[in-house]
Amino acid sequence: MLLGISPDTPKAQKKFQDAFSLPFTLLADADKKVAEAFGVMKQKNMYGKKVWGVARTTFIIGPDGKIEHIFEKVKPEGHAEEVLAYLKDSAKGAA
Amino acid sequence: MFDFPSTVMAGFESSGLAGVPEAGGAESAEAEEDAELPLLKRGGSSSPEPPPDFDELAGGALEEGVADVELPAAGAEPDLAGVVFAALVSCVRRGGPLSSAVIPTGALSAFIEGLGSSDPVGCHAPVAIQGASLFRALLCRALFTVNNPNELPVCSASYTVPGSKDIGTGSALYALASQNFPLIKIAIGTSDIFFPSLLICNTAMARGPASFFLGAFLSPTGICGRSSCAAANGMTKRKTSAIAQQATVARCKLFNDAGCRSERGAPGLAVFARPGNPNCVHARFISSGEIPMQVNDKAPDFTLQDENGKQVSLKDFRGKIVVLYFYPKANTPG
Repeated sequence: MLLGISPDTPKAQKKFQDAFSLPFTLLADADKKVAEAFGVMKQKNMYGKKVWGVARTTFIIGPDGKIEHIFEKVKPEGHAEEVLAYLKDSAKGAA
Repeated sequence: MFDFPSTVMAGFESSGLAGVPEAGGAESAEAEEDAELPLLKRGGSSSPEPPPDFDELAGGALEEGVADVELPAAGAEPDLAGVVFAALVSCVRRGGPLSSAVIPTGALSAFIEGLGSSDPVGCHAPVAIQGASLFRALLCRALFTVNNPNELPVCSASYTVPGSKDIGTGSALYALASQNFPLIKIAIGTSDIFFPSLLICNTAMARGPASFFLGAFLSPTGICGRSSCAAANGMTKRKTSAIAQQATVARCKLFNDAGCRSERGAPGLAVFARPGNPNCVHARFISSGEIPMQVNDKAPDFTLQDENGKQVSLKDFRGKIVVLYFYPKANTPG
């Protein structure tokens, strides 16, 4: 199950999803509560101003609800492959 | 024979060449130099008593009736420095056997920095903390160990607004903080917001609001927050050893000038404050969910709307592997 989560509104998520025909669920975390709960808020620089925003982070959550793996400082490029490789690896390990 | 200017001569005297320990000229010359450190005399080695080091300073200040020290009310002027100083020191000294045993490594640099700077006054917290750099040096150096609420009446308000109705007044915070938390390690970070100078203190031990005097405080087990009088910047993730198990301490959020901001970090007590706004001090317990996740932690459950407005909970997917991808809001950096 793949879930994307960002502080965008559901409407913006819908737009984003339609624009790129993304085949997965996008969750709206407008008040960043979940991002905070997972501790992915980071301070960033924007034009010299410091702002707090969501850091790209991927969590692999196992069937038992426990976090299996964390990808921090995710770069959008190539990340899908990285996650996929991880999942395949762990599936192999389990088998 | 040379005609030494009296101050030069006095300098010799006070440094032991003339054997006269108390020389008025030296006193006044040094008084000027040490204007920022009224309590720190740099007398020569031949003075009847050795030059006071900080321990003695602290001890001396402590012995002189600290129990009767009153905290300055809101709007206190910097000339109350000595009073607050004594109060702070008393906290340090009351801390038990370890009080002087551990010296945070950042102390020296902080002290030097402190000597060369004078801080702006205007924070709503007791002015003296910011106004007198010596305090900071002492704070840096001190190991705060406070073990029960009774140990900390005199200075417990030093990190909040005197007279504030919020929970952030000292005793209230202390009562909260002292209930359940194990000994915590506090870190006083650097600030580039309120102070022109850099303050680096590494760590000190505290249980309760002694840790809240100044700066941010972090804990591997309990508390993350920041006092009303200082912000900490650059409090990056760091490994804390000692006391508790090795744990990564979360980064504390900076205050936002626009208002009160919540802190994020280890579960525990957070103090929020806004400089210049005396009413904006709050404290709350951060739920245990707000710590950065680590592998094998249980993922906190949540329910959010998906792109179609449907409620989706993480627990809906129990039994499946979930890839949860956090990404920034559109049109923001990162």
